[in-house]
Amino acid sequence: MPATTPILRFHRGTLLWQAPPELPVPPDFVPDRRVDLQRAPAMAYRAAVEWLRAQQLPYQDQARTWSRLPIRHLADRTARPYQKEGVEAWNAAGRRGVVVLPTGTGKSYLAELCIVGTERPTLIVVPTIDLLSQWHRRLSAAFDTTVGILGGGSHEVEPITVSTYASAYLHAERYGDRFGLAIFDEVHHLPSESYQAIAEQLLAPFRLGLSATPERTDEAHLLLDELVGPQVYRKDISELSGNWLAPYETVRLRVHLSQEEQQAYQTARATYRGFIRSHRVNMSGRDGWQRFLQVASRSKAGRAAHKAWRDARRIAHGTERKLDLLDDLLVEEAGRRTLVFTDDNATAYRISRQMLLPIITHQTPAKERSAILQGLGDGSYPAIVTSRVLNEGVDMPEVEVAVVVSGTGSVREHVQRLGRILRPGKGKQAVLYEMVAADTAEERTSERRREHEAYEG
Amino acid sequence: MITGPLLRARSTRKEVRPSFVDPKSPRYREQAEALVALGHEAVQRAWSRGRLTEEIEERIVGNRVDHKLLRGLARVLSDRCDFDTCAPLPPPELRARLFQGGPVRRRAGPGGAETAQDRFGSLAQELGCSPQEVERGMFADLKENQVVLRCKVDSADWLLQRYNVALVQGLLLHAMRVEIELDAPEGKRARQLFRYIKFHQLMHRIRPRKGGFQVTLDGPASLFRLSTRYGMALANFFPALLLQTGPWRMEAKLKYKRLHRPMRIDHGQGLRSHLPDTGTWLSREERWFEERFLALDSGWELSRGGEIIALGRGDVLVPDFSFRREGRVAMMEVVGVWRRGYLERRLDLLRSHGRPELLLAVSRKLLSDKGKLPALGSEIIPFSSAIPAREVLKAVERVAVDAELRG
Repeated sequence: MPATTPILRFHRGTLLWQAPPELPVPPDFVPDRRVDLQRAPAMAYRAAVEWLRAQQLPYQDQARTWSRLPIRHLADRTARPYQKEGVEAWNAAGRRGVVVLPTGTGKSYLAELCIVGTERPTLIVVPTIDLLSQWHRRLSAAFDTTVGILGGGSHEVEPITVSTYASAYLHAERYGDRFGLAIFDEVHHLPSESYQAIAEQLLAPFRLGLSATPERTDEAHLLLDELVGPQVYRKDISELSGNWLAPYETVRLRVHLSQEEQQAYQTARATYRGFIRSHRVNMSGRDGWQRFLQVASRSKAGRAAHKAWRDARRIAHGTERKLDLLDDLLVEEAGRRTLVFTDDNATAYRISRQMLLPIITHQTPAKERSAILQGLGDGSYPAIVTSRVLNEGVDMPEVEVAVVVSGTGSVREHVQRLGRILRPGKGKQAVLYEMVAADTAEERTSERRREHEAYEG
Repeated sequence: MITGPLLRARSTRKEVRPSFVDPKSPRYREQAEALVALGHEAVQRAWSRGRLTEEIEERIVGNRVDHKLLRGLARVLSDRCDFDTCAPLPPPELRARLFQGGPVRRRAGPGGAETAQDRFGSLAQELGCSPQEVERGMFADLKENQVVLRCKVDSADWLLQRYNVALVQGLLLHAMRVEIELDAPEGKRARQLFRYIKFHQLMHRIRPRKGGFQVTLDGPASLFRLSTRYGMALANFFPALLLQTGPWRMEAKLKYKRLHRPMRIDHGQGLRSHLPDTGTWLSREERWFEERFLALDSGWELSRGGEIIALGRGDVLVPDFSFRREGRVAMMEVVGVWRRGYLERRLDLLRSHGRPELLLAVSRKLLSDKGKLPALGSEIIPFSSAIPAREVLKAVERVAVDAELRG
């Protein structure tokens, strides 16, 4: 090739066009006077290559570093009809676009089919560390290859790599030239102010977005067209047959505080309530708590009130009696797969240390998390404890018994975390135990929770 | 760096102003001294990070209303501490072995069921350590359980100074672009600045201003959309700017709390860098040269530094000396012994850029080194122990160009 052949280069999340000035410039490139070259976002790669081919302009592609990746799919499942339709619609749209399916309908299997069909190194971007380890587990089982992880304390880049949005945001400019296919799980996170940079800094000509709820209140989802592609397939929950919420029984366990705890609890609550009353803080409505924090931060008494509130909550959440009761429950339900939830880390670690239950919190390294969930799935760990709020489509292995040692008042999260994971065992109904410290604020929270329809029926 | 809820700044309609602490305030000097003492006590007593935080909360923060500032100081302190995980095995491994046998009972009860203590004991025997070490090691990798190994803060003054810089850095995380003006930079200072710009992978554009220059900093993708993408790099770069000795002004375009506001910082605010100041001293050769050149009484006005010259592709040249007489100007950069690769690149750049009024004084040790250098041109003045003032003068007369006509 002559020395003046134009060169397309990847430079930290962008594309550079190095060519004699008399040659035409591909679309989306603008002159960058800092380096005297034409520059475009890495995302413009596909349009640039298509344009160059249409113009029949010879060029040297030094941008992408990947090549074809034929891959063996070890999963021998038959795709469900809507999974097949989803993949076909995505292929037909030139392997770009968003597929909308309800939570728990096998979006990741659809993604596997897209990876196999596309045969390119693939970056999968997911919002949480739970999903990170879940995808890692799934893809490791599905393919005959090592799957890389970016995030949750790991930094291993492989032809197939799963990353959190946060890590992808940090590293896309470095690894943006390595992947031909990018898959965004819960793609409605992508159009956020900072995360859209991930899509912009990847060359990947092929892109798949997955979501159950792609709409955002700020209309930013309209950006998805540009970042990932248009919505190419959608199936709503009502169109899918079958009941995906398992029936389970709810057992509420009232636990009395010890006398000492009771006293400490009352004192702390009195301090907190006294402050609210004397400062006339209106705690009603969604901003009540915010108002309290604001007022409290302004005076010594307020800071003491805040501390008193935390102390009271700590006592109610982690009372000794609850732990003893949990101890008994684990014996009673021995042999059934059990998941223990707490609201706070301290209680979760106490349980893990005292009863030697494997534990998952936000500090658990991604690999260990994977191993623990796998252990729960294959039965080597009969019970585990977690302080994580498992929202957004994380599916834990199915369990028969869930124990909520302490929880917050958010109804939606609560239903989400429990609905999907409880499955009846052999001839036995699944059961959800909820422990509540009697005569405390926690009990009132729990009352509120029970009002939600999911508990009826 | 001070981030999130610990960041203290005042937003007005016009700008964002960091809420600096006065390093001379006796009240905060006292608090800072107490914090530093606590940091060293933590090392002595091998406290965990969690314990250190508790002690700080109890002894220093308490119920005081300036808790944000005090916690910020504590953050700066703990950022300068080293922590270590103390366990007989890597904790994840230790946990896996402890969890292997399934859950145990919380209390042994009448049946004498296995408890956690039993299992700590048997694993301890296997590992040849104490059961307490196993129990403590089980979660030794958690952030709050890591043990304070070293505290690298020695003075209250340092802590307060560093706090102010950390505040600016915390705000720079929200920066989309930064503009810096330097009034009369010395060559070495300016070169040092560009070294740091390069190190932090920032991109720059330079505009000369009288006596100095203005430089705009952002990143590759800032060309298409301004975002806080490079805020981290800008924040990390900032302490290097504080090494400047001449007057400077910085204006950062912030997107802070959803509002676009500038933050203005300048040399007059007395911020001090914690970075070691390397490679900027005026060498003996240069001081001698100054004296001798002035002694020649040639009519050429000699000044340190000079205007910055962009050589394209992000390279710049900042001369060490400028020579001016009757509207004519020449410049000289001094290249010391330790910068061989630098010199080769420099020569390439100068040749391709055609700036005849630039001289390079190059150490002879560097030149005689294996003779790998490209043929020397007239723009190079070799020297061994002293830069020859007379030869420089001759060269200046030869190469100086009309200041007005320079492109």
